[in-house]
Amino acid sequence: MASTAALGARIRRDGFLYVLLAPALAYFILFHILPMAGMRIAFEDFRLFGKSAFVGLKHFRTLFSSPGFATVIANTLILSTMKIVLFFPLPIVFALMVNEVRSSVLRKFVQSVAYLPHFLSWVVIAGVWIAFLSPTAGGANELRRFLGLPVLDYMTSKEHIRWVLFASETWRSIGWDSIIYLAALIRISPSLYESADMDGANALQKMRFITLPELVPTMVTVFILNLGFFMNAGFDQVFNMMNDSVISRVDILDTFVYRVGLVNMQYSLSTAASLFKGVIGLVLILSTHGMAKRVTGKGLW
Amino acid sequence: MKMRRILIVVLMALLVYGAAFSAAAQPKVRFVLKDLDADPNAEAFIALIEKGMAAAGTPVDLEIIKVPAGNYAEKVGLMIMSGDIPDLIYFQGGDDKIAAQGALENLTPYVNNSKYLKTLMDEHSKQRLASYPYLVWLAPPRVRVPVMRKDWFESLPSAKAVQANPTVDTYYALFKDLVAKKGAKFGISITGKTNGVEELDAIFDAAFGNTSTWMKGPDGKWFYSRVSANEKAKLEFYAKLYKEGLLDPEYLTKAWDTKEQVFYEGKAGMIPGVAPGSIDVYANKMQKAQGSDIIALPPAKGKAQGLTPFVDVTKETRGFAISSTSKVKKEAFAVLDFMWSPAGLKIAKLGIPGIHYIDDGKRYVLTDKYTEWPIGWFGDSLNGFNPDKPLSRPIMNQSALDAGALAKRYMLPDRNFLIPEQYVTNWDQMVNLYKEYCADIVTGKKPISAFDEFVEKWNKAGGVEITKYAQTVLK
Repeated sequence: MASTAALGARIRRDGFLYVLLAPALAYFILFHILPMAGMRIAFEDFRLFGKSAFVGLKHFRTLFSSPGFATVIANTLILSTMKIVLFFPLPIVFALMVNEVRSSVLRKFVQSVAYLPHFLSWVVIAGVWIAFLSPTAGGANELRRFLGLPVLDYMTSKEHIRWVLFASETWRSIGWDSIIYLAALIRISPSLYESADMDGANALQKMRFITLPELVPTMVTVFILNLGFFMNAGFDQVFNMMNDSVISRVDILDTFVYRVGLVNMQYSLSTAASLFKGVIGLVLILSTHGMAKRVTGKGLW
Repeated sequence: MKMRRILIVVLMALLVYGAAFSAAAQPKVRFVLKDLDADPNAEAFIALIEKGMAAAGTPVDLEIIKVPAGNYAEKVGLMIMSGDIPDLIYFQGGDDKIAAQGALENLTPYVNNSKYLKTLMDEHSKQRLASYPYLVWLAPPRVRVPVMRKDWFESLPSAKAVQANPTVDTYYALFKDLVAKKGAKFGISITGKTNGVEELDAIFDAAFGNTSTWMKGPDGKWFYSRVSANEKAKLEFYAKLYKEGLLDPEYLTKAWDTKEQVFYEGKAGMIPGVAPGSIDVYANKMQKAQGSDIIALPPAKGKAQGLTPFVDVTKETRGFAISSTSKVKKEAFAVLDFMWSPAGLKIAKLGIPGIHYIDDGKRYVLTDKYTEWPIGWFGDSLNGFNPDKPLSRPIMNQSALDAGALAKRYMLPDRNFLIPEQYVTNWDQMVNLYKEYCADIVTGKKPISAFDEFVEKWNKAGGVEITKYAQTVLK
């Protein structure tokens, strides 16, 4: 009762701020919370007309017992680990490097060039990378030829395709993802560096003892939030870069759901798969938040 | 002054009433058609149809429903399953699932009572409507035909040998000549995005004995052609083409546009394309790029002879449907019937006057923009198209019409069935197994002996059950 009164008082006091909040709240309610009611079709045999029959966990059983499911889950986990865990430090390193560039013209140029790929669609990026890695005329293989190395068809190689996905993801996202770290770097008080200078610290020591510790809260928050998307290994990227020779290496849960669920109109099955993904994401977020709180004292809240 | 104001108000009220009355007099037909919402001439096209239908005594108000970008079949399916069902729907797959939900109207009585449409249907269209009455489409069978540059054809004896006696060996010799004598980088290019080696199958599948998806063995039992000895022999031949550089080494990552590009640039000696529509596009582009016409070649002859994909005679793979919940079913079908009337065909096949053709009083002069007009909005068939004035040039290149004739002559009726819901995930895995083994064998990553391993895995993934099921549904 007291907390309701306190909320009422807060709303009266900060009325204008709550008005500003309203559109965002409405957006989340309309497009993220209300549609959750549709998840019930994961437990039904969906019918366009009439009542859909409740079938319990039938679609989950179909999903988990399908012969390709284990491969699909393994690929999703491997690619997600590569993209989240291996990729995670790269924007931080990039932000630190950009931060060290003294010429503001050069810094802005590097940042602009690094941000650009983020605005390209995966259809375009796939075209660029397929051309770049082409065994007949691609730049990568021209370089290999120049160095006397044998030509490699990266796009159809089962050994290399995951690294191609990782590299193209890095190329696309490293600049954009570094923005948040650059913002965090700007926030660090210059007085800390001045004190370090007076103590005779060199650049590396300043980075180790000032910059990185100051970045930890941002890093933890970004990492935990990224984990929520752990089962999203990148549908657009995989869909556009996959070919017949590498299906078993890159077919992920999303591409599987697309083929079986959406193209074949098995909407209940695809909803079951999405729900499964969502639950895993939620568990990962909560458990990582708990662990981060315990180890570093920082978390999402 | 006051009088003038009253007059203006009365006139405006009359205008509003008139507009409302005329809109109410014309039943609104909501319809969805692939790519039409994004076409710059869509508005003019619809206006012409509405005007033509009004003149024919069946006025309608057509509303184009926008479809989000992406896979059309998927987006339309989602739109309908979410409850937004247009009156007239163009499907390019996925219609069977919607029909199974009772959302599509049986079109047989509409077709039987039609004035124009039924008279222009080919036999295969009638057969399909008889066994699956939810889709109607007037078009030649969608079959791929191999084509090459005509100037190269004229100067290569091996090309003429293929035309006179198309076999696996004569094709092989032609591929070699295209590289050795014409400077092509490879004999043939295909796109691996269209279901693996399906484009190459257009020429060779039947020659190796594959004449339908499911075939009857000497023991009277049905077997899946992709796990047969025929398939193994065919893949061994494809691997030989790849190893010798006669098949595009990058076919797996080639898309339809990059496949065409290497053909126009002279890097690929041959490509397959859907006849006659795509072949007409190839002919126009090749004329611009190399100043040469193209020529269609017959499929290789061996155990059998035919062009693929196998033609499903049990249902249309694309076409128009009418929603069973529509309140304007009659009017929706009237649109289809009108489009196959002489007035409708003129609009559908000639395009927008002043843009795609000019009426100079004596004839219809097709403009440079005409090649950009898709003549197949309501079906690719040219049946019944007899314009009231002569055309300045043929509507389609002769090479495309010849390819269309080859497609009709060599099409192979398919024997196939819908995969039941309980096997959908198995089938997905089985198709993936085929695609990956096929790619690995053709590109030399795996030896041909790996084909037996594939068959074993295919059976394990559900092949045994589905083959058993096939015996019960195929007659």
